[in-house]
Amino acid sequence: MADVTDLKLIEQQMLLAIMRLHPNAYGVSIRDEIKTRINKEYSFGSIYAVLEHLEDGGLIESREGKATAVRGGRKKLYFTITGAGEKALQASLNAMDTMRAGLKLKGAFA
Amino acid sequence: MSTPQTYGHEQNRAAIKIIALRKKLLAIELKGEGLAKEEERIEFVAKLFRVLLKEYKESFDKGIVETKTRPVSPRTEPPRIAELLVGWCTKKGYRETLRDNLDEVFQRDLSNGMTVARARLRYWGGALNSITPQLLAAAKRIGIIGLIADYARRLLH
Repeated sequence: MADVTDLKLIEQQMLLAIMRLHPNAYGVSIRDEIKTRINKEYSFGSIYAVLEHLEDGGLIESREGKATAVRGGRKKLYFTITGAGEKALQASLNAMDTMRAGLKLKGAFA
Repeated sequence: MSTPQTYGHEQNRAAIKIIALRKKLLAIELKGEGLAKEEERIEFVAKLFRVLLKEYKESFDKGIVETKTRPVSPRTEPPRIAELLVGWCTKKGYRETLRDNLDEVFQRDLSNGMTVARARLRYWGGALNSITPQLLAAAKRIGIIGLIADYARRLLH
């Protein structure tokens, strides 16, 4: 597995969205959450490529949900963050905070 | 040779009704000729509309006019070719899930009042966006096309 601080921005966003949506994080809800919060719309192809990569790295887990009538009896694939995933995200965000510490950026909040 | 059509009692009644209605409208139209003022013209159109509505209501109550529900259009389904493309170009692991997600967004667009044509267009957009990285990767793998794709990518970056 790659160094935990090596998470890309899209991976950080996915992990944070999964945590926020727990336990209802699946493709559509993850995409909607990111779009609502930061107004960025990823394609499902990009989302699943990242989710697959995160799952291969042991940072998230997937489970099949129950079949619903809304989706024509098909099952949703839900994602949850693992302990390793939370640690990796924390380390990655910490690294970013450390790099940013002491800098004054234009347009920053407060 | 075509066989002569026979009309039942109901059809005859409907035909008589329509003739009577036309006569009534003709009488109103003749009266309405030469209306100079705008208010008169508006009143004339409103009167025509009221007569039509009254006749329709009466015919409907008597069972002469029937409303038929339109059959469900098969075009409310997602575009089949886009579905097939997604099926061919995405990895087996999440192929079905990806298609289900696109389908869910399509159904949501429709239930939000979007037109079928626009919802289908959005489905196409989502499908092409999702498969483009896979298509580029595949193009790279197959010889000369791969070289062209790589060259195009270098030009763009």
